[in-house]
Amino acid sequence: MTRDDLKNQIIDYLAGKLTCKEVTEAITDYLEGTLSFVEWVRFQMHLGLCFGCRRYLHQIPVLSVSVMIATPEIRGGSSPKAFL
Amino acid sequence: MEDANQLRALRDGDEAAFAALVDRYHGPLLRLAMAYVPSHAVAEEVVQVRESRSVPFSPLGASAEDTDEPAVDPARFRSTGYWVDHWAEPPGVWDDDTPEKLLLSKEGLAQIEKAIAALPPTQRQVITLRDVEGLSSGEVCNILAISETNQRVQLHRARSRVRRALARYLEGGGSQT
Repeated sequence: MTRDDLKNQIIDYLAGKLTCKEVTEAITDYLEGTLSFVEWVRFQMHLGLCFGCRRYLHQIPVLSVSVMIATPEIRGGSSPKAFL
Repeated sequence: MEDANQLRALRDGDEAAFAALVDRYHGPLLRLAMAYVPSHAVAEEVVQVRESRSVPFSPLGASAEDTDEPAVDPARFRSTGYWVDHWAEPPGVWDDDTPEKLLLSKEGLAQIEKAIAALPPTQRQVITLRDVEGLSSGEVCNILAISETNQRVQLHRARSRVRRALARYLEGGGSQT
């Protein structure tokens, strides 16, 4: 095993052995608080080491507000500032 | 006494103790499940899911992956090598005033509106009740008479689709964010 292989495996282990794809597919479960404790720990470990998945996580609340803004009835009503 | 020993064995990761535990509680668990579901076969499935859940990491992911609507464009993940399925092209930063900028952009708004309008009815109802009306998951389950799991799957798929439309607008061809 080369030094790089070893490094990869250690990072992989520390990041909960989750792929970024798995994180994106489980993000709603994470936010809804329905992951089991073990899954939650692995998720947290991954987030701690992966800036891409941290960015992805931060996009979700921005998305929620954007959905609100894009609803014509909401826009037509009071000032959108009220929702931010 | 026996319970204490069994608990100790379980904590030590004794597989035989785990198997014994499953044997002991499978029946009662199954009968409990039968109280909530229509048939024996469904109850078996419920109990099975609960028991196997602690092993692989497949919360909602498994069901979401069955559809043609992944949360993220698959092209953004690596397709080969040790880090397969990790980001090849990580998501961009969406700063907190993204919604305000969106509000000022006719084109951006139109794209998001179109994405929401194109959602299947249940997905549209769930994302509207959760993200626009600000209701809790429990309230949405009651209003739409759907299970908590289904609510989560619908919300996940709806947000995934709308997110992809927003990402295309923010990070794609147009202005860089």
